[in-house]
Amino acid sequence: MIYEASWLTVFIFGLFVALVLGISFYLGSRARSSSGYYAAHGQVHWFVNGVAFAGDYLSAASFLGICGMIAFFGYDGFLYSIGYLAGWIVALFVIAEPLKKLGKYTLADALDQRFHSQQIKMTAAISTLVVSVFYLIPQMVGAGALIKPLLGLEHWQGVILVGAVVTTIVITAGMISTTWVQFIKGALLVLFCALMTCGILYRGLETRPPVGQEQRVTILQQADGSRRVLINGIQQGHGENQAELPPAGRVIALPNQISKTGPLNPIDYLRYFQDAQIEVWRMEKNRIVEKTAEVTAVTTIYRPEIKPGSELLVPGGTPTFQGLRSEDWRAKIDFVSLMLALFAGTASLPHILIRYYTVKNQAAVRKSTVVGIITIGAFYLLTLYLGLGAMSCGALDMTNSNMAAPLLARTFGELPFALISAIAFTTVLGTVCGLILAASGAVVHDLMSNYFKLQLSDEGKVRAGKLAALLVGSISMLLGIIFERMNVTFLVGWAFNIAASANLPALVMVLFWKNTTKQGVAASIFVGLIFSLAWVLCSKEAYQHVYGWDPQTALAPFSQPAIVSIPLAWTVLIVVSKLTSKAKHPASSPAA
Amino acid sequence: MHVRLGLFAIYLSAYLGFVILNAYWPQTMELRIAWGINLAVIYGTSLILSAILLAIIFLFHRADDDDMEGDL
Repeated sequence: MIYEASWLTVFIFGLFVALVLGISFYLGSRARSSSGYYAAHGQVHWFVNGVAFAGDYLSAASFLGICGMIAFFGYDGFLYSIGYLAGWIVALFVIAEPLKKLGKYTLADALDQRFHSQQIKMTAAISTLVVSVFYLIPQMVGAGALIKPLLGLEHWQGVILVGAVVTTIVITAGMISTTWVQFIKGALLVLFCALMTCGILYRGLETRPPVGQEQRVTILQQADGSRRVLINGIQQGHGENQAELPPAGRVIALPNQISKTGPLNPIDYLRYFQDAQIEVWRMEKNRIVEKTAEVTAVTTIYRPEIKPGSELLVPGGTPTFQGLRSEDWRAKIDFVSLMLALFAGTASLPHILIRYYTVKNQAAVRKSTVVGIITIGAFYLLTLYLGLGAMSCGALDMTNSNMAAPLLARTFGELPFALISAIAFTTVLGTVCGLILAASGAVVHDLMSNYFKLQLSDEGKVRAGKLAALLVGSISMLLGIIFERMNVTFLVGWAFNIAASANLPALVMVLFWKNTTKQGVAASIFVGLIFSLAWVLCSKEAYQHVYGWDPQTALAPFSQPAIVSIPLAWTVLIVVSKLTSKAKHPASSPAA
Repeated sequence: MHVRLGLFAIYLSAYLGFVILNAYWPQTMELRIAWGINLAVIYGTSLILSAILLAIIFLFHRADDDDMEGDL
């Protein structure tokens, strides 16, 4: 689809970003020391921190990816909502309070507090870096998807714009301003999604004539580098002799042959939806590629399918989860593995972990986690209505699922569209800030001053952190451009797999098992990280979307490693700890 | 500590039940069990609501009891 910017949207959007930057400059000027830069002096109020948790956590993936997945495939996106929230139960009941006792700024601090081991510092810092970068990729992809309809920019321009703004925020300010940005954004996001859900329920469901015919999108890449897009063989555009894709997301029939329901309550909305007929779009797996000396033409075909709502409101609609309804054991294990990764990953995400150090004590950690769960849970309940609302709004772009939420907002008018896009954009900004901060903390605090023992002054630490932030920001911008075509929620799922495999076994055992040794912790992080990363890079999704290879030849038997890699890292920790603790105290064993 | 583990166990078993049902008995998700709405939607939303509820229960329980401070 072609997107044109309107002045109102650009104005509101600009105002919003300026406001956020202003706050961050103002607050940043008050944080001078390194404890201010990385942990906001531990003085953030628990309520603010709690909503900031929501700000950190409800990333572009939650907002754009889940809404898009539900809007295109139905219930499957909601599985992510359920899993993402479930992880907070682990954080609240298992990790949060004991962890607060241990560390100072980072995951490595916490893990290493008992041991003072170089290997732990090194492996924990590397794992923080890898997870942060993996989590940053979908944020950048989401940013590109947002900017496109908003400002009419290309994907890569959007990514670079976001990257630049974010890196500026982090460099100027650090944790205090990041926290306030997250607070504002978390609160606004939940509020506006609630308003939009009210709008969806008030509007109810309405039938539209189906599009009915398949759509062909051809991208012509000329040898001189220029690019043209054809829709069903005709130049894309709004002018004469030009064509555009029909807006998707249509309800074809409602129960009892009515054409419009009028306002509905939340339960009736689901009931009507369940008995409606919906037109959805599926992309043909194989693209048609034609090459001549001057031009390469790649054609993608989108086919409409009419599905009953009852089929869209059960799991198994996306290509990822299709196997759930078959007898294929690999698909079932893949699903269980993903749900395990979501459950176990949250509590070990580096940008969530650092937020435990911004408040005063354990009671504040507990309270802010509960506030976080309430805010985040409320948001995830709304995602179901936002997704289904988008599926039936008649304004979707069938070629890009990440765009569903902003396009849904546009059906309510230009103003809601501008506001929702601006909030979503700050969503991306905020999450990216937190991640870059976590990564730069790992580089400077764990690697440079603790591992390589560089003598840095407090000021030098802050300066090095800013430099690291710039570097991490640039790397993720680059990767965000490469990964454009993947659904952002799916990408975030991978980050959870890696975080859960590398960090969770070590965290839990350091907190609760007295016989854990430093070698055990380091080995477990190392094995969990390398194994899950290698698995993900050998999965069929990576083959298909990143390298452009045949997905059938992928090495990994299924896509989500958690169900293998978490037990593996756990076993490594126990075995290595047993071996190394025996070696240390040979005399104590005969007594037993 | 017992309340903490108890609440965690309640949630974990509900979540596990959801995952296993979906993986191995996916047909059950189509059953319309209440208000004419299917199990997938009811179970899913209940999981989210119960997480919020358990968190609030925990907060009130812990308000007058700070047994985690001091150990470790």
